[in-house]
Amino acid sequence: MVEIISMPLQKRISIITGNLGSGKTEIAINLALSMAHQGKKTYLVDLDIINPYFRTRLVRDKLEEMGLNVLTPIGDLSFADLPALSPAIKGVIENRQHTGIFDVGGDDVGAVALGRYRDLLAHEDFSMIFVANTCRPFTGDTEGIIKYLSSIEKASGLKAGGLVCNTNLGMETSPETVLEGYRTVSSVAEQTGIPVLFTVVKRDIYSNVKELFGDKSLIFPIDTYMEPPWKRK
Amino acid sequence: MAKILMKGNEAIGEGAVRAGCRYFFGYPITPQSELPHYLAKRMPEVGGLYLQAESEVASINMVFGAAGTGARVMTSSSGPGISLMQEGISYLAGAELPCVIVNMIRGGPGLGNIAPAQSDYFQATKGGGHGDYRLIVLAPASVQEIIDLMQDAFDLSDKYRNPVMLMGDGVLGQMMEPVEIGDQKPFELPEKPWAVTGRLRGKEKRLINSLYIVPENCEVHNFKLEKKYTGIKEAEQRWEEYRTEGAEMVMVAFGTSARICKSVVDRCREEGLPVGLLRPITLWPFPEKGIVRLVDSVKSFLTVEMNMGQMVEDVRLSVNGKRPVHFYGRVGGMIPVARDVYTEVKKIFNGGVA
Repeated sequence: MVEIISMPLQKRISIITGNLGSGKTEIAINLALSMAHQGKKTYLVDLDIINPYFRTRLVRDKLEEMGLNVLTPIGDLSFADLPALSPAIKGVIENRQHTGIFDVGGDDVGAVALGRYRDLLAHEDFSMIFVANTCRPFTGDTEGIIKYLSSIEKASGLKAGGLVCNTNLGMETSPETVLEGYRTVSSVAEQTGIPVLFTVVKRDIYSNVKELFGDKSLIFPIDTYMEPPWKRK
Repeated sequence: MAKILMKGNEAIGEGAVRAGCRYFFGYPITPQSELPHYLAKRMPEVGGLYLQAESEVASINMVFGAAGTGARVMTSSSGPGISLMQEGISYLAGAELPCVIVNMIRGGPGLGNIAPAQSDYFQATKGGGHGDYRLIVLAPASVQEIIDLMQDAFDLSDKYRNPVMLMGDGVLGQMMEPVEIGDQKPFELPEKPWAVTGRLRGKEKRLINSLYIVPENCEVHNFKLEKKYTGIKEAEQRWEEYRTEGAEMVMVAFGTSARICKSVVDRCREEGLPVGLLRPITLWPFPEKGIVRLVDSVKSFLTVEMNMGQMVEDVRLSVNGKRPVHFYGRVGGMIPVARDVYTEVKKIFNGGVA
């Protein structure tokens, strides 16, 4: 059993957005597990209508065993690239006993799915979080990140309440890479007034990153659940 | 330049831009849509053109037009869309126009599904369209290799005035790996004295055409093409060998299947089983030379594919009856599991018993 670090998410509903391949799904899974670990009735909602690969529905059974409620498209539709969303999602938003982590599809095209829930969310305690990996194309600098952030805000009709730094190069991530990414995301925070909530790292480099960072940022260590087929046992 | 984290589909786009491709015509289809998505953003940054056509049939004919003017041009799709393009691909080959066509294969036949597959091997390497023609077909197995092969794809297509297909599958397109893209090298397009660029000041008329209405002329054209293909077969076979030294059994696999087989090779070698891998990088020309080099020292071959057995035919032709060639495949969007491939290897070592 791995150690699960409790993340101090302030809101009942957290909506994870970002550009394509920024790490939203892995972060959403880890955040949801962390909330469930704190004893909250937690729903992980797969709102990804654009990317058919490496998404939550592939590991649904495993996550449910770990105590999460996972909402993905129903039945065979989970294998499709169709904008099919479960009616139960509305229930997560409206039932104030539930905690929800929403994993949204990448870019502005993915964030469009959020528009359907905008009016409902307006009455609830929620925050839209924007994830940035500065090692990805188009979001390597402050300007690029702000451009993406605005396009997602526009497509979803919601305002971002927090930034998450998820700078990584996959297996080749060094603590220095993470720190450099954090600096860029921090400057986005300065320019937009949206705070950096935390920095994400894979568990194997957690202690090294923590040492390098000091008290610059809260560090959230995660385990990854999506593996390429040649790494599957 | 620092490394960046890229999806395979994005790497195809970036690799193309770096190779000097400035025109993209395509139509979205899963699992390659990140490629047009990327190029829609990237092409305007380099003064190129991204255009979403009304169909795949239109896309491939736009490619024909752009290639005819000498531009570096690309289109991409997945199985069903590539099937729609076959007429245009045959025309491109017939008119000897250089271009790059990307197929990120999904489960078939028919509408199939959006999961990864390798079942378009026949279509890519044995025709697909009508007439006697060949495509040069490249099969990368990592995101870095995609970047590198895109340059080669455009260079080969110009060198031989022939369409080149880059073939992958949904997993390669969607997965992310760190890549070194290097600094943009200055590039100069090769001279294309055949390109239709206008008859300025009464230059000689140039014609891009695949119509040879007189049978004698069409036969001559076919002979000319065949000579070109023979040259390509001789000069361009590419493959990677992995731990083949002293191997009694060699697996043959490309793309995603090869990545899985590599991990199987490692496990076998750890347990003292002399197993290696030959990974074709060119699917056409098929790396016959690589197989021939191994055939005398190896006792058997095992071809692993995400189809019902397509490349295995080329392996058997190359082995030419000298050794048994076994086959293991998963289909319909299913991916071979390393453990199952390992069991298959053990079974062959034990004379057919698991």
